[in-house]
Amino acid sequence: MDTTVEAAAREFALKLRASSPIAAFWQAKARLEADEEAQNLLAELQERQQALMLKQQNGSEITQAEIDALRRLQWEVQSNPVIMAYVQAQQQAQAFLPDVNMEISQLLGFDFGGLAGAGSG
Amino acid sequence: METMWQTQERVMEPVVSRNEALQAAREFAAVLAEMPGYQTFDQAQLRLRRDPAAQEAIRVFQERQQSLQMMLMLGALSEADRDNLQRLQREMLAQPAMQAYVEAQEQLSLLCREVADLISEAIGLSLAASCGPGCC
Repeated sequence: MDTTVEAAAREFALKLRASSPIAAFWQAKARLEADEEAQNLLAELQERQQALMLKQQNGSEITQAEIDALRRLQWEVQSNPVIMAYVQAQQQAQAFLPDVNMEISQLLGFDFGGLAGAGSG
Repeated sequence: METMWQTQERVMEPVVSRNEALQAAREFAAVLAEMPGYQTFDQAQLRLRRDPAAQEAIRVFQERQQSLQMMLMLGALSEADRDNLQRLQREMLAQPAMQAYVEAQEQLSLLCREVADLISEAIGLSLAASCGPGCC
């Protein structure tokens, strides 16, 4: 990458990182990572989902009690304010990025994000 | 007395509004427009648009492709039609202006990916993934 472009990209990335939607995402992420209850809930949900998936793959029957337990856990996750604040912040940050791409693309005359995605493996 | 989170939020208070970030995006795009890779693509695109033989080859291929679209979607294209379409595509891609355009686009694509990856790493979200084809 050209050094001028790299420097400009880094400067822009820093501003983008400090912008309100992205900064809010990072704040919500930090809160989530620091919240023991939320972390335990998510770990338990993942563990339970993986266990049921394994049972399914092995052809074992999943009981109604197991399904109910999974649903209760999912409800707890959806009721956790720290987790849901993170989910909402991530959605809002991701919803902002097409606007950013639009600004870049309009000046260049092509879809910057689309072309960058097409350039991947 | 403010909580730990209020202190952290105050310290981490964003200094860039959405509009300022979008302005920064425009300024960044202006730098990208000076890249040799972009200039090459821009010139190749212009050359392609102005090349009568290339434009005719594109038109013929696209018309044929469009007329066979339903059969293509159903996987019911005859071998003769498939061969004909592939021939027209080869003729289109063999045009020097088209070859130059495709090459320039591929190079630009790699460059854009590098830049997008750098930005995505900094913000912790994928810029390219958030902007699929037809996004803009």
